[in-house]
Amino acid sequence: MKKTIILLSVTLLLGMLTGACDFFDLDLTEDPDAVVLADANPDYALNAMQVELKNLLSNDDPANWRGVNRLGMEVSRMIIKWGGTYENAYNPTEFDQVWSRAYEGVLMDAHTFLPIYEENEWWIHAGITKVLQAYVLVTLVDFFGDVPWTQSFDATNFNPGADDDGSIYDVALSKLDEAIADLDKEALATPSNDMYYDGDPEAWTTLANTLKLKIHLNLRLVDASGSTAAINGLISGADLISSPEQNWIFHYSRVTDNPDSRHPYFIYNYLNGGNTYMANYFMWTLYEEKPVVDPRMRYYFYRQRTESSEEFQELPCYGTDRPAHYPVDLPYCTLPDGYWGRDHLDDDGIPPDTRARTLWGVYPAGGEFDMDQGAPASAASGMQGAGAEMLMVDHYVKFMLAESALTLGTTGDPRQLLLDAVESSISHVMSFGEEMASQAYIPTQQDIDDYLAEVATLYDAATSDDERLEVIVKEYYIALFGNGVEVYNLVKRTAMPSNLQPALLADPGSFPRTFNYPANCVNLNSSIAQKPHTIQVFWDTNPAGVIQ
Amino acid sequence: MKRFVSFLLFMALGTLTLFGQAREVTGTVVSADDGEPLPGVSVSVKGTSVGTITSVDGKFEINVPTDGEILMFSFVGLLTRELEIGSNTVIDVVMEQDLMELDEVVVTALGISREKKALGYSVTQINAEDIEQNPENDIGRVLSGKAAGVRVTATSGVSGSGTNITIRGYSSIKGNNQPLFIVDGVRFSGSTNSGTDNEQGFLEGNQATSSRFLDINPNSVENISILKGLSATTIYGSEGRNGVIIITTKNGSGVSGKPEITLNQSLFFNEVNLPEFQNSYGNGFQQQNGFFYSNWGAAFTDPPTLANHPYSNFADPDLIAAFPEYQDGVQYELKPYDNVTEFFRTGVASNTSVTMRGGNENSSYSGNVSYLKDQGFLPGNELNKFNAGIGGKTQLSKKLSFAGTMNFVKTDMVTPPISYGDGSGIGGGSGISVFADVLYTPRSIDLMGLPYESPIDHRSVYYRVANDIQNPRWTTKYAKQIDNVNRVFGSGNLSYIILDKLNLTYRYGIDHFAEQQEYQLNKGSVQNDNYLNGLYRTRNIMSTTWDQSVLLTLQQDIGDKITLDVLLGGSSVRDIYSTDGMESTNQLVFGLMNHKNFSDHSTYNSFNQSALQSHATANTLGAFGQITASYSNYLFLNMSARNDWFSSLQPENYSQFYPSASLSFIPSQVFEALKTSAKFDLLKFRIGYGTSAGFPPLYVTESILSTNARGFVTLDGTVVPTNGVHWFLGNPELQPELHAEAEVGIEFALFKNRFGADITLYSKQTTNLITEATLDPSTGYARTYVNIGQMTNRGIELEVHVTPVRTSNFSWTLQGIFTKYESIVDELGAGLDKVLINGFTDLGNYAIAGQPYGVMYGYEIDRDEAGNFLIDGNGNFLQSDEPAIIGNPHPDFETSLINRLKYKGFSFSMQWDYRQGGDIYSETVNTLIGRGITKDTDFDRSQTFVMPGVLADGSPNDIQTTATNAYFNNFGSQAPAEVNVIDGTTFRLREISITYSLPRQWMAKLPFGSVDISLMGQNLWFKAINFPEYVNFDTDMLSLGVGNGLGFDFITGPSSTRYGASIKVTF
Repeated sequence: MKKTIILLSVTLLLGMLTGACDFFDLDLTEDPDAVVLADANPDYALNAMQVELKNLLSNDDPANWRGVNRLGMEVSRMIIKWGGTYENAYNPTEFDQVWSRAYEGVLMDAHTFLPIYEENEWWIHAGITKVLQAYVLVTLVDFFGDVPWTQSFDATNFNPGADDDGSIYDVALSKLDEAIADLDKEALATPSNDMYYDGDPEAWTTLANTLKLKIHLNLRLVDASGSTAAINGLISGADLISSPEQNWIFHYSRVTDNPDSRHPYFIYNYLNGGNTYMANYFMWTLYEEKPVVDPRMRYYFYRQRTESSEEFQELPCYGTDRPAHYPVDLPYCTLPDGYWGRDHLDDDGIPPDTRARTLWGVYPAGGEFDMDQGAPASAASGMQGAGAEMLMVDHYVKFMLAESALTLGTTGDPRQLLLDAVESSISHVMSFGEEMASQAYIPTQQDIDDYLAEVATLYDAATSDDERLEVIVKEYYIALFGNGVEVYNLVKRTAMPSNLQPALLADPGSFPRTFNYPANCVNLNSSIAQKPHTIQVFWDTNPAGVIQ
Repeated sequence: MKRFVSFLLFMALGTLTLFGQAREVTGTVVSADDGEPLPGVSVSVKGTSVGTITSVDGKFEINVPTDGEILMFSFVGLLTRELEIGSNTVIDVVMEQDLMELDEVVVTALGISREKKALGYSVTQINAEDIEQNPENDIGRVLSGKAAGVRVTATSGVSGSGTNITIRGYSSIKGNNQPLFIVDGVRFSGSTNSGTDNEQGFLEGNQATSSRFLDINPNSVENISILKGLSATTIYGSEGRNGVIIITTKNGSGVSGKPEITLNQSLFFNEVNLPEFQNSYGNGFQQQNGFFYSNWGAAFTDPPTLANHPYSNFADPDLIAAFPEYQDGVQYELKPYDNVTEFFRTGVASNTSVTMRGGNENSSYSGNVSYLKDQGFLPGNELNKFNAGIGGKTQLSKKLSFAGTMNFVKTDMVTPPISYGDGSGIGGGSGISVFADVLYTPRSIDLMGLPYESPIDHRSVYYRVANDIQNPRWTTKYAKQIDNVNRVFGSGNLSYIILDKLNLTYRYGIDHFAEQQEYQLNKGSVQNDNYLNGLYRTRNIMSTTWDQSVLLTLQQDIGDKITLDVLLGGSSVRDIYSTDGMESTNQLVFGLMNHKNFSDHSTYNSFNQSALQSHATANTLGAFGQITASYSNYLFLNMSARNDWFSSLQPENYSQFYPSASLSFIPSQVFEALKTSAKFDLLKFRIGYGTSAGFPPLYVTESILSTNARGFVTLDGTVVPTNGVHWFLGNPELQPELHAEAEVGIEFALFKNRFGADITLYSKQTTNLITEATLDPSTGYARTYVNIGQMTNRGIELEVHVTPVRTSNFSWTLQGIFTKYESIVDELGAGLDKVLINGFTDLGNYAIAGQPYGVMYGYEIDRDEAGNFLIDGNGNFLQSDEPAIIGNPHPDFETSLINRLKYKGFSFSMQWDYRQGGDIYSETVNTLIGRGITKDTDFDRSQTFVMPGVLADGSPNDIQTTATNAYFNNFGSQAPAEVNVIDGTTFRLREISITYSLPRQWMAKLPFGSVDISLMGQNLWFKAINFPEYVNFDTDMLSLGVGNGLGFDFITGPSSTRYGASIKVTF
């Protein structure tokens, strides 16, 4: 008996020790759930960059996931930023996601996959990647000034220093030239999911040229003759975005989950009755500044109420005195007919006015078309979030050419370009919202003609180039609704519109000519110290303090 | 109790042998105190290895070899007796109490029992009587304040929520600082499977996740031994580096004797600690009534002001239609309501447990069953726990013995979701939180009187026009976080005596649990825009740990004076952890929680974008040795060393060797003057040095890609997959982090042990710290693991006991415990000047060179050069441009004072805790104050305020602001973080218990062995002296979940007071 037990025990013991080789396996460093670079599909990487680009632009949710569009629109009075002073309005953490999406999201993938595309002779992939690189780099410079580039993407350097902003503009220009060259080559593969141009190399080439126009226009303040020559060259090259089919647009869809593929402006505002306040100033510009109402009004804004409030409860500023520094011809606190927004940098508590505020309309957020419904919006409203990101469209190009013709004397008649631009903008907005628009509220040709005539009158009445530029800028400003990148550049480049609504506080501090570095940059990178937001990007030679 | 431990000592040293057949001696051992039989007394024949122990009825039987002359009777706490055998065959013995109680035996590494005096390091032993029948069923929380050097912090007062334990402070920046649990000799996972590995976990509800040591039934614990320093834990390997909590259960103790059954029944109540509210002002802003979040409205009037019913104000016409009864001018009284106080309930916890054991000299058995039903103070919160276990031990042959335990636990916990709240709802988090809005409910909101769901579609409804606050009552009913665990754990121990004093043991342990987590949110929630149509997430975790070891022990005497114990061993630990799950959104039919009732499904947790499926396997191999030498019973040397091989580092770095040594010297047994002194009982010096290693989390040495099969879905329905470089940078060069610790200690006892102390000083240094460095994304990566820098952790632990009175009927003992530690980050290196440990980049715990570990970092009030606060044009504080250090979350020290009084059958104990310092950033406080809720804001609100500071031009601030602006803007959640950092000094009455043991003479007439009745209370009173008086804030809470975060409160719930009664009966 005892022997049996001993034998049994020893067998058991040996069995457990030797039978289980698994226990001694020490080579378990590979994550069984992960894909490594060698197994990756490089085509999917292009998708990742494309998705991250739209995240960089428009992410918009309560967890400080603000895209650059939001930042640019806020300081340009297109939408509202809470916060009293510019200082209090922006914590550097608010820029963290912008920084992450730009570097981790787009640029790191570009850095990693470009050599693979080039080696495989996937030239369309390579060309698109370079266009994305150029666009992201220029955007980073425009918002932050000097940013890291040459020392980035080095696993041995956790503290990449910032490069001179001008040098990064040069990098972007050469990336665009390289892209144009790549897109012209015979490619061994085409992208299977190009969400912008469906893999069309010619469209990407046109975009690359148009981005060069955008860059040279910014550069006009520091190098007028260089810009003039470059822009004239681009005009004569005749390969700029000039028709709607060539527009650089990212389309969202109505898919609510896995992943939520709706426009972030829609998600953040339609599901709960409104988060973002529209700017009283911007709505006023379209609704009241001119004797005619802007034909785009019902496309841009959706009113949840068609009457304005007089109740303290939901509109605490109602009946309070207009601040002394507010010009009498600018809006304060409230607008007629239920256009419900806020004033610049208002830091009062948030009253219970959701489902009363004016929301993003059908353009470009994919919301509801305003037919005087005056009803609270919901997730089922309008285009249900199937909006779009207007990165670079034909009327932007016409506006840029108008500005360039006026200020640099490049080819073209600024007046005609301006009117063409406004007309294409209106038709662009109307065709975008066609699906939702109801006949009775669609602007008539007469409405459009009246509006164009008003613009022409204003332009013709201008007595100096500055006044003419003011007209062009105001119209471009209106047309840019939804695009914070171009509007921020426009305001910095021209210091116009010159009647932007002041902040509620008489002294809100300085306008951010560039933004502070993100918290995840300065707090974690010892080579970069925080800078004041009065620092101007190299191409911005306008006087300090010229923008309030 | 100690009787069983001494029995263990015998087992472990392998001296129990049963050979030699000369003659048999039997007898009974009784106590001189009360004449009761004494079980577990060791009986041995002096000069031989022959021995046994007495049974439960005090009887023994021993075979005395022919050369045996003297029988030795020894038992911890009793004076050892030696008796001549002569020709007697029956020897009855009376044993007297050893009043000095200096020969305490404690459980040390690998379950080896040793005399405490022989140890060169600090060990605290806590016995069953201090653990069982406790109102807290979480073994971690039971330990609060009971051992020097051990810190316990609850994540919430909710039943079943997680518990954070650290021993001797923090030694690793991003690594695990939680101790290792060993139950009956084998590893026991105490992990908190919060569903996310990144430090943002607190945003999604990490607080509500249980820590798995919750699966231990405190009533089945025989004793707990806490090994604090590295010199004590080296042979446990790297996991022992944060201290080891060794739990011996009743099933694992292997006591034999006549069958004994113990029945334990307790009933406890659980009451929430709430703020004191003011009843002068109601909901509104700027002294005007209105349905705002804040309570800065007009003063209440008598009779109450009437307003249109809030349910007639809804912007949504569907909601108006849903409540026709409140329309058409129905009035609502603006008066203070009992809202928050009525929202919570008194929780009831009932615990029944039955333990049984018995056996004979060759075998023993035990079993226990217990059931806990713990209903929390929060509606919708409940913890049910069923434990069943058996244990046994048998002598298979003279040389071979086997012992084993097997336990089954079913722990089911349910709670409404709890996550980060920022004082204005759930803020930046993704989760739902029942606490986010409830505590600051404006006084004039009739929370309990208003309907909370729409009769039409069950949607949550509440008082706001936009219906944008989720009704907390809706949340408790229709949102749930469920954590159901089935766990089996057990161990086996096969011991073989190869030669006299040479013993081979093979031990295996299996700890397996299946944890089923669910997150249920019915449609109609309004708190988080993303989940308005419902969310259902299930996640199944399977975790298996195999723990095997082989030990060879040798005991050898060299001459008369030197004894030598040698131990050689090897161990293998294999952890397999896997999860899978599904998340569904867009519920079809309200109320049904089943994936088929949802239209969209995903394999990601949308709260934090982590994949629900994962697999992980890790192997750790260890080889270790230990030599213990004692000289003349006054000098003890212990040397041990271990080498670990860890599977998740690259081969060139996966092996690490670490030694340790300790020495104990007892002058009181050497010098005649001390030996014979009537005052001096014990004087002991000890010194120890230990090392250990820390290994990184799995899979951090290799870079990977992130993949997403569904990166985007386009307008035409195309699903676009993505592949990209993952934000995590793998580091193939990663090495183990190294810990080294020196400790010295003095123990002494005076006046027949009526006064004694145990003082320990330690200094622990960690180098090559494995740190998850957060990177500037412009590197292309967000995080990586690196070996950098150095941390030093120093501390003092003091345990003092005084017995002012000790008579045969009455005794009064005081025990004082003092803990102080300081963990300093000496340097970081790799160009990093700070590392985020937990929280947000601009409001969190950081490691900063030269600063205490985990200093709090956040925005300050902007100051001019002279240090004056800067005030903006509205008269409010300006916030600094950049965050700065705003606090140190570590207490300066913590103490407990435990009073124990015994009078005949009565015993009374009372534990007071005091915590000095330790800053806390409290969102609860700033919200309650900033929104004008508590009595602290019951002042004349028509006055104006001028914040202290200077204006932009340097002149003193003279801008008058209203009460609303002064509080809302300068103390509320919009204020610079610095304003809301408060010193956490706290007095606390941790525990009171009164027990009455029925006199034994009564028992003779009853079928019981003993009957004990107790009344107990936990966390009965506390006062954080620097906090606003009426907020009643409990500094013991931690909103960052279990981990390395400290000192942040993000409204994750109040704490509770537990009290009740229990009865214990033995048969």
